[in-house]
Amino acid sequence: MIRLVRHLVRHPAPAAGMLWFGFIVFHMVAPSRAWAYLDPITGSIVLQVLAAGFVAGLATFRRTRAWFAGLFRKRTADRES
Amino acid sequence: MVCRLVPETDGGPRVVTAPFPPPTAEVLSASFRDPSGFVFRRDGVLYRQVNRRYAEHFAAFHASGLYEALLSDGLLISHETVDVEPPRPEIAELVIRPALVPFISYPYEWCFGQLRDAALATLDIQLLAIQRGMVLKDASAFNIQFVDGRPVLIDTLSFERYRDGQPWTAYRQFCEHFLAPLLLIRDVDPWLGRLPALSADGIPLEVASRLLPLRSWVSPSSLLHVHLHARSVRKYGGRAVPEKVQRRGLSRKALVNLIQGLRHTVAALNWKAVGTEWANYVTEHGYDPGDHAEKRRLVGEMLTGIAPGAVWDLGSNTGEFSRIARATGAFVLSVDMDPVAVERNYRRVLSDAETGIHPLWVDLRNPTPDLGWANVERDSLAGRSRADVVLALALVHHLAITGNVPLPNIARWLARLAPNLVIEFVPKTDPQVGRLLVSREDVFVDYTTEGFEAAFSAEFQLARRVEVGQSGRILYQYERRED
Repeated sequence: MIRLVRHLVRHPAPAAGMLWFGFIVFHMVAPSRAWAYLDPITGSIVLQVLAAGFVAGLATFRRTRAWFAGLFRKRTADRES
Repeated sequence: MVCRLVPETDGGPRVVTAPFPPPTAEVLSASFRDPSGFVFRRDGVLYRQVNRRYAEHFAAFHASGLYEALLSDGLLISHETVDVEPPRPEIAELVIRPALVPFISYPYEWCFGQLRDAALATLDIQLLAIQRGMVLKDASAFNIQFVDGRPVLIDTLSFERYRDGQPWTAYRQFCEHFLAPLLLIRDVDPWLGRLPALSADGIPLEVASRLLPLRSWVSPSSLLHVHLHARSVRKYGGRAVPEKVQRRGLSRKALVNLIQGLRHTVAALNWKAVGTEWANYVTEHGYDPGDHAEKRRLVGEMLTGIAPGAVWDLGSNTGEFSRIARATGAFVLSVDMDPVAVERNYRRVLSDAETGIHPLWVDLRNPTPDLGWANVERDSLAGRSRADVVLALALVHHLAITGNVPLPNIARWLARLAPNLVIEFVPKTDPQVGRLLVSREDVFVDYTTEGFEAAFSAEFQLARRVEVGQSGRILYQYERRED
């Protein structure tokens, strides 16, 4: 629990985003009751389709972060040369 | 789909004779799940029948250039079409002969790094497939094997044509076979890497979700691919895909994003290989440097004299003596029960681009049993293939004292594995044995040089006996009694 709080304090923005996303999707996919037999496929397909926007956003975020990181690396390299 | 290839050595996986094929064809006991085809052996050669129902996908797989692309990246074993009578001609399209891998290992015998690299290979294969209009229809970790330290797909029939809007059918299987165990090893305990042995199909997502720590809920990848995935699977269990979801589908771009996201997640998973009891054994083995050099020389000399094709180094730690065995030209299975030691061994294989050494994580006090359907789907360690030599250095005291296994039982088990044995006896006076006895009563009255030699003489003939310097340890070279 202490590690979780420490993690949240260190990374407040992504953590808040995660919690919000989790809250929304949890309510979309949260089971209303338990089933004796579990179909492993349907829920997996539903999640892929529902989460497509989130996955795309995450991919864009990673690409943007990599672009900025590359920019700063380039500037640092320019200064050093 | 799960099918396995076997080494060219004797004693590969057991085979069962299917009711329909001619009596000379033996269908492998693990090759039954996928109706696309099956693996069979005839006259000692391994083949795969490709069924007519899969012919269109198989043709598309070749026409797309995916086969060549995967071969060029070392991600798939090669095969050739052969003119061989199929065992079930009424459903057969053709027969192929796949290349063989040196040893079949299972995901619950892999260290963290092996499992992670196998996961990355699966995702790379999937990305290449999508580029060429194909898709991986399954993502079983059993379909990946290691050849010279590199993960390769051995199931040539794992691909099908991609259809627009099609989600990844194998997404759940990938998460249960790869992602869940990797997260559990990293975030909970390395021993949870053994959990897949308890299940037919990876670690159920719901189990993984319960076991992962609370902080995993704020990790985007754990949250999405494990926690929410588990809940979604449970919620929609027994229900058809809702029409709205079917209509929306998953675009090709979204599918690629999903696979790339998974790849990013898996590639970022790191595990610190530290902190277990035997991780530092190589530097803390208690040998005088001169005696240790002498032991290396003697082991090399014994193995060179035998000239083995395959050596099983049991209790290999990080594989120091596996390299000596490998230098004789043999394929070496480098087995240890310590996950950190195996991880370090594997990392060395990678960093030095070593070939012919396969690190394996097995607790020899409880070696991998026969598992899977009817207990014939996945073979026990001893039943999988045969070694020419077993190398058992600084091992017997762990089995005899820590494991309470009587010496005659150890001798009988080792005699089952190989016709030759190079083994070290470590006496009670040695500090390493002293460590094992420090907190317990010494009930091991037979654990003496005489007791050891009596037990092993019942199964083996002595070829050579050498005391290693001043260490008090003794090296034996034995040959199995065949009478």
